[in-house]
Amino acid sequence: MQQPRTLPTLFQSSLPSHSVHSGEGLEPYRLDGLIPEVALSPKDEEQVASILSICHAEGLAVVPWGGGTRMGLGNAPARYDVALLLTGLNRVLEYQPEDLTTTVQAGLTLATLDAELRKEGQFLPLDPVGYDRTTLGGVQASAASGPLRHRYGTARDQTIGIRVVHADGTITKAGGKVVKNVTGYDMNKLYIGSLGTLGIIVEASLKVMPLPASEGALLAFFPSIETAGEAALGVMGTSLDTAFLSLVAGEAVHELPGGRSVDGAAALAVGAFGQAAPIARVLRDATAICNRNGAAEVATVSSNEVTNLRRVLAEAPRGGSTTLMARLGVRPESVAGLIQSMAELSNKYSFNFGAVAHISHGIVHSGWTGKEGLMEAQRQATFIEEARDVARAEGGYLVLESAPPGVRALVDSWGDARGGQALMSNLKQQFDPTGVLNPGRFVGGI
Amino acid sequence: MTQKERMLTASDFMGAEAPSEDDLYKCVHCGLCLNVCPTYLETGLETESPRGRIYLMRAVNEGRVKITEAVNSHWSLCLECRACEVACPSGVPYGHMMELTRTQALRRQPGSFSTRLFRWITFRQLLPHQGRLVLLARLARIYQRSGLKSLVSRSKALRLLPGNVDMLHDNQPTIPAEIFGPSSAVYPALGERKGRVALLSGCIMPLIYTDAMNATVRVLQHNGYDVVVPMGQGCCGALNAHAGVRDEARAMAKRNIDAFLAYEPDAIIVNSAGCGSTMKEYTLLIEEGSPYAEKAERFVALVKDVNEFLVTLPFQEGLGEIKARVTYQDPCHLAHAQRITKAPRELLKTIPGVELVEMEEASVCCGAAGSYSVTQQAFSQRLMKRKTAHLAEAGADVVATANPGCLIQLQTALNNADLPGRVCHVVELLDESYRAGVSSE
Amino acid sequence: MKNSSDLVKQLKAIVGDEYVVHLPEDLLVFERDGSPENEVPRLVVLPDTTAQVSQVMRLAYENGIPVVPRGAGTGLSGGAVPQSVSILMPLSRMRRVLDVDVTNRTAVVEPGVVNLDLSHYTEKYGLHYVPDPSSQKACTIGGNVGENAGGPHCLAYGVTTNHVLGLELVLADGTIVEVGGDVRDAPGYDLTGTVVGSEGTLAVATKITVRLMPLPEAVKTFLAVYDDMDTACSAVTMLIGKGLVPAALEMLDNLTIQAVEPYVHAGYPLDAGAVLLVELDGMDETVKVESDLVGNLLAESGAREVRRAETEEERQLLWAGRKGAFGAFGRIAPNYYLLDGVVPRTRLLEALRYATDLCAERGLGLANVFHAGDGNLHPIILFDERQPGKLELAMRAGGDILKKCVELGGVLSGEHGVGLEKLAYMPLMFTPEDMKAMLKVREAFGNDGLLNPDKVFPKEGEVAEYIPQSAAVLNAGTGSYI
Repeated sequence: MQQPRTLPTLFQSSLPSHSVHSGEGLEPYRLDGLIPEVALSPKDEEQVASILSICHAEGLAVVPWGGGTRMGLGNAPARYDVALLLTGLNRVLEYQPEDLTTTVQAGLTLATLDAELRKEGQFLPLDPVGYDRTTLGGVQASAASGPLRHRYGTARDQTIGIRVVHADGTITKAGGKVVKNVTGYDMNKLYIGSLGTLGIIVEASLKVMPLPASEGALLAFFPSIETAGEAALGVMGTSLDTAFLSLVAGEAVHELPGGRSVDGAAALAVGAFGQAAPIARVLRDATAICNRNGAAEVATVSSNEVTNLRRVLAEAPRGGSTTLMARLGVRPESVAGLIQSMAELSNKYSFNFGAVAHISHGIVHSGWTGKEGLMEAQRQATFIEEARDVARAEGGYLVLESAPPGVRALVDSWGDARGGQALMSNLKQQFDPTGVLNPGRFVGGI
Repeated sequence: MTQKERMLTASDFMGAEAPSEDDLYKCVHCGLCLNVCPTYLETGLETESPRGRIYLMRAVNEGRVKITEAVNSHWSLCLECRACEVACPSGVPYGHMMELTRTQALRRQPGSFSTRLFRWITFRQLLPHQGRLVLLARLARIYQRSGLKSLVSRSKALRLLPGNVDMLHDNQPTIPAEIFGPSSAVYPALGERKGRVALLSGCIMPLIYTDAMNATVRVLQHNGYDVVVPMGQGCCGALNAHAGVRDEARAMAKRNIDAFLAYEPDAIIVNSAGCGSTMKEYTLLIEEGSPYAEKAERFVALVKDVNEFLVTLPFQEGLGEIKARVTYQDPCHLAHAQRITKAPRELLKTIPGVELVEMEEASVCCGAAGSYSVTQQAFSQRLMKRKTAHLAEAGADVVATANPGCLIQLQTALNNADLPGRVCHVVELLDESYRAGVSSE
Repeated sequence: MKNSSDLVKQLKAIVGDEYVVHLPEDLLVFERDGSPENEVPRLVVLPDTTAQVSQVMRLAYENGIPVVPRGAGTGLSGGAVPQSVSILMPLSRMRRVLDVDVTNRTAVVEPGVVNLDLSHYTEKYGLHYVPDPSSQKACTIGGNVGENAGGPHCLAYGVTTNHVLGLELVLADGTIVEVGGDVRDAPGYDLTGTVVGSEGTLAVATKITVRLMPLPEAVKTFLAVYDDMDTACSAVTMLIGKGLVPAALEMLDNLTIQAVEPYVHAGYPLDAGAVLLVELDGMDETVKVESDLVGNLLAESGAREVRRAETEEERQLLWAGRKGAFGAFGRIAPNYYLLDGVVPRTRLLEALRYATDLCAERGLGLANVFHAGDGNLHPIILFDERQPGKLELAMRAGGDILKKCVELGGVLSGEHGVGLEKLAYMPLMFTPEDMKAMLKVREAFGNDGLLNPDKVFPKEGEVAEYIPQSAAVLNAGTGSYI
């Protein structure tokens, strides 16, 4: 055990005192029952670098924090000495609208960045849960995504360059600031989704898009998950240019606009961006497909409500009282079946279940709540293991994104890496041999 | 002496009949030719690709390697289908370079006694002498009809001989009773007379594909042309040229130039793709400064493949119905050497009842490639097998093509695989349709 | 090290006699890919299955022999050029499409499948594989994965890495590993994304899971003819600035037109200063609306003529000129040096002017044919090596142009890769620390200098210094560069 008062003093020479937090103020940075000895809020990458070089030299374990919106992802840290708060790195460094690119610091929130871009009629098509608070770096580290991944992909597709501070404080960059680049290894891909275990993202260059002329969407409600799934695959099997295609099931249906009053097991949200004529065509054809598949009701979402709908689709499975959250992945055609199985399993456990799936990518965001007596940790852990087996049987996986500490202690957040665990461990060994960065939190104990 | 000159003096390429340096260095090694080359498609080996073969030519030219047996084997495996020429953005005249290269290779790698004997007989003693070919054909017909052929086949005696003699024997095309050939006759135009054309009789076509020859004559008549089959003509020399026996090919070219120009036809019609492509390139065969150079140019301007010729006319479309699923195999020397792919399909589509289906790799060589099926039997078989799979998939009643080598090879492919359907020349099908139309009127 | 005849025997036992190349005259044929660099390999081996790849690599690894993987050998940066000590391993025999999953819109292919063949194969399902390098008729998906290949249609739809979902890999020591797959975002590092574009230095991909996209309902292609390059460049900036992201936006300058027009007869006016190819695709309604918009914008952009391809045949013809451009330079100059720099789209004109002035000043020809929409330049320096000093001059000019690209905020390579060709320029973009981080990845994949060695990263000691020409090119023999 370190001596509580000496640790903060290590950083006094490299950070102003208001950037070093200790004592009482550390409670918000509690993770799985662990509280760090110091929380540091650097203002620029040099400060991040000097912090890490100190931690490296002193053998301290660092947990990076962005907006703190997805800290439930990953296992409990093996060690936790320093909370590294990155929201101070929040500047837009370069923005040339005509180039459709921007370079920003990683602690900038998506909402702030988006506001800047909208001034120029552009946007960043990343819309994961927690849009208001989540930072770009956090989205990248966790590879979070939302409904728009259907058309625009994820952070992996939008990021063209990255600056990283390594475990020993070295700063390196990869990629560039232009939209096309194959010079050197594509390190962006390695850092994105690595949960800060290889390096801390401090800056990123991004591709941005012109704002669509308008947005349109429809919501179709179905009597069963199966029929909604058929309709979704039906839309996916056409050449319709859809911006999002999300299958909603269980409790999440009630979060949808108009969803309260509908007695449906599932819904399908279909969105389109662009000029009026193509949007009309998408909605017309999608309506026909939904009707053919037995939709109980198809409602057109008014143009100015589409953004809100997208927000709901990102947030729905994680409503207020949700205790368990998970991301499941399967092939698109298995999505509806998986959700159905999840619903049945949840029923068996008397858990309330809601899900939103971005079906073309086979990503299912799920959330569960339950009555007090039914939610003991062991029961939840058993449930998760069972759910994970169901996903595996479909060739998929389950990643736990949020659960009470008691549950997290009983069940691994990630499950197995599907391939290349040895390579992943080698990478960690190369980049962070002494375990400075988020030790123990990643796949396979990395 | 500079290094380059030293290299040049060490080159195995000698004399004027070698690929020119200008041509050799037109290849920028981009590789766009790879995926259309049948031997590369089959092997995946750069050495069996056009780019690889050109690279070897360059290496020989620069004196980096000699024309060894291995080097020659890669050139020999080339079908000269010239699919690479179509794919080449730099305009490398590959076919011409390969012919010149083979002439060079013959000097350095003359081959075994039996190879040389085969070459001597085929290219010097048979092809230039149509009379001898006719005689052979008549003997073959007697052999086939006497029951001796089936006896030999059944005895399996030929399996004792090396190579695929037994297979070649069993698959020999049936020689018809009537043999086509040059004559002084004029086959008169039917209906309104538009002009006069001279038809190449050639070497193999008139012996085995009499029907196709007669059909060609009738189709041309039907389209308003007097047809002559000029006396004094002979084999076009294509096989000789491809094999590198350019002197003999040249003599044969000159003979044909004289024979055809004497008739002053409006066009010289060829129904055999290989012959047409060579005849369109007679100018490349004739030595510079030869009195034949000018005549060759006039000759070349007149040469037309029968498919090509017909579609430039307001041609008579198919008349009578032929209910059949038809697939078309592009003869290499029509599709690649002459760049004619649409004309035959256009003709076929006009026949009522014909459903034209495209098979996979329709423009990839079937493995016949002139004398290739004899000189490179094993590889020819490999390509035939590949073709057979595509034929089976297409499931056509009729396989149409426009070259004798392809006709033989495709029929053999169908026979060997017990696939239904027949193989015929595009013009035969058109002729059939004309006749069906006339008889139903 | 084993003697060669033993090695040949063992390799033949793995892949079959026909597929081990060991005669000196045969090996010579494998000394080059599509680039200027060349070196004759020790042996060439063509495996047919993953198991064979693994066995070959294990054998090589145990004997300390480097292996250089190769697709069709159409690469332009020397990524598949072997060393005299190496085994060159083309994957051209592994050309089977293993699976097409129509519902999930994915396909699993072997690395030797030719790019365009895949799209032809999936056409019957109404699907295609989007990245379309100019060499797509010959280049392989495996090679595309190695180089993270681009192509004209990558402007709207992304490059290879955006379309590859999973890989079966063979590591330097022969270990077989599967990463990624048709189930997305699986737990763990994005090893698929890390390997794509690593130029065959991390692993050999033996199976590739790709994403397929629906064939567009409608395609509209415009050819805008300009009197000069400046006007054409401003048109590009204007189109992008209007929020349009066409499927493709390609430019050809006058010299390129001179080279390709006699070959394709695409109808490019020989006296045009530049032509711009603009392609829109997607739903009928989208294309209709956008083509009216683009038609008007082009008309106002100072184009002296705007044509639309009315038929598929006309469209193919317009594209034939673009896709065959590089090969066609053989018709106007005996040698050329092709660059691949990228600049921000707003700096296109600046970069082009710099290159034009520089080449004019030094008596070199310069043609430009490039992906204008994403700022990916392809300056082509034309010269005749028989004129003394021209080769060196051309190489130096190339270096200077790349340097300028980096100064303008760009990068060395947009789609061709670093390979051997741009090794010396890497320090222009990356610090020694940047490169060390990348080399850690190579270490992690267990490449002890035995998998495509001496590529991408300059050797230590050479790292700090910018060398203004590629030494390998300068040392090359007659005709050994393009």
